[in-house]
Amino acid sequence: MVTDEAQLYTIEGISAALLMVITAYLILSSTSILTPGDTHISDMQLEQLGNDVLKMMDTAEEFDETGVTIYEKKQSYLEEELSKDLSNPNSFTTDFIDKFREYAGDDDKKVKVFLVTSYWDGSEIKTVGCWDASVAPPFTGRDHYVTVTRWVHLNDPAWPAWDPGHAKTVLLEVYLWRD
Amino acid sequence: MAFIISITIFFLALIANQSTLVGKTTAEAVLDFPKNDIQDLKHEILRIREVYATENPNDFNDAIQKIAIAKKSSILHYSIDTSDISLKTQIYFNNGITEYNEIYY
Repeated sequence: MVTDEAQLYTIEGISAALLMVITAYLILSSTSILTPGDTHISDMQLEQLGNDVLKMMDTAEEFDETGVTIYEKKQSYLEEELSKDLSNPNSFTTDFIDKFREYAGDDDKKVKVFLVTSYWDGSEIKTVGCWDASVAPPFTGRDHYVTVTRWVHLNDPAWPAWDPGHAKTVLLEVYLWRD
Repeated sequence: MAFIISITIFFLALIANQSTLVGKTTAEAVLDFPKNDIQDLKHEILRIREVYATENPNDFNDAIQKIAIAKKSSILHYSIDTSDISLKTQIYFNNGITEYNEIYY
């Protein structure tokens, strides 16, 4: 027997149906499509990865008791490597890229690394790049890259050839991209 | 019963709807504030400070300023007060969007 409870069932049914329709609309409209304008999301992740790796490379692995100065005692990988003679960029670049990959996670083979070091010689900015290094990936400038930078303090660099041993602060720029 | 279930589904849908915004706004916020640049600068200044505490720690100001303008399009400046026992250190950072000052002892 149908009594006037039926009216209540009808109201409940209709309002539930309405809610379901609105829900379906909400779910469908929440799809977001990644357009080329949204590449900043993946850029940010690569940038953060690069910054984290550079931070690790610029942190001393251990406190070296045998060092004479505080600089030597807490010398980081970057400070040590960049202080070496950079006139032959091949060995430095190879080491750097290997180390970078090690910290970034060896599985990520797609990451390409290119580096440029800039310093101020008192009157102008000079750069030491890895353009001549055969191990560096071809850098066309058209690659979709992000730049991460790191200030590195060199207390006793073996370069440039005409003025070695002069303490300087250099800016290491690393270009990162994935193919 | 149908009513209660549909309200539950509705709220779940609301959550799903909002969650897509999260990644986007986070990425934008992180890109806007040059956190890494500032941390890196601070690290560098502290390094110079500990190495040159007794000498001339401000000697590298010129180099940092010049390189930062050319390579980072930002204005960086620091000063370490060697006459102060606690080596009062100021850093200034401005990349055109974010201006940042810090003093530490």
